[in-house]
Amino acid sequence: MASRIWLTCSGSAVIGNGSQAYADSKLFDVVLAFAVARLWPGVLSNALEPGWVPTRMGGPGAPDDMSQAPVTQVWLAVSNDPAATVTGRYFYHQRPRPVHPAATSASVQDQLLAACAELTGVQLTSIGPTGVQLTGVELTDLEVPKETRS
Amino acid sequence: MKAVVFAGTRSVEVREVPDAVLEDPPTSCSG
Repeated sequence: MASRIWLTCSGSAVIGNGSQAYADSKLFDVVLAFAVARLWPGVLSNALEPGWVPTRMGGPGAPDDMSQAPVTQVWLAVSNDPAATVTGRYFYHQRPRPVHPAATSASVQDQLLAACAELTGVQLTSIGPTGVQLTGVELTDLEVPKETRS
Repeated sequence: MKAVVFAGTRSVEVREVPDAVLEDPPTSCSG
């Protein structure tokens, strides 16, 4: 099975509502997912929005279905459904959804990767279908600290 | 504080932004 990545996004990335910083961050989730899809052809990399659900952040009046919020993540992670074994797509409740046109722009993707490299010293580079290559970082740096594991 | 910002329909930039911009997340989101 191919390696898989999905990044949880927000409708704010599509329609640009919410605070600008929040909307930018969610748009960049999509841009990053699509950049990985382009640069790492052996990895299935997609983005999704879970819906506006009644979490502490979403608020009690959020209209979407909490039970549906995690379904697309799991589906993209493990399903062999042909609709889930794609890359460079954006989903809402297991269905493709249009996304901001900037996300599909290779120029915008490269600008984001350059900006992230400038701030972090970590560069994401193109690879073949069999491996992952990051420069400027050791893989041990990417391990999740024990105290944050669930 | 430096932050990556979406500077237009086809432009991404690293800019200095007020700390408050990053320290005051939205209290609600649209999913």
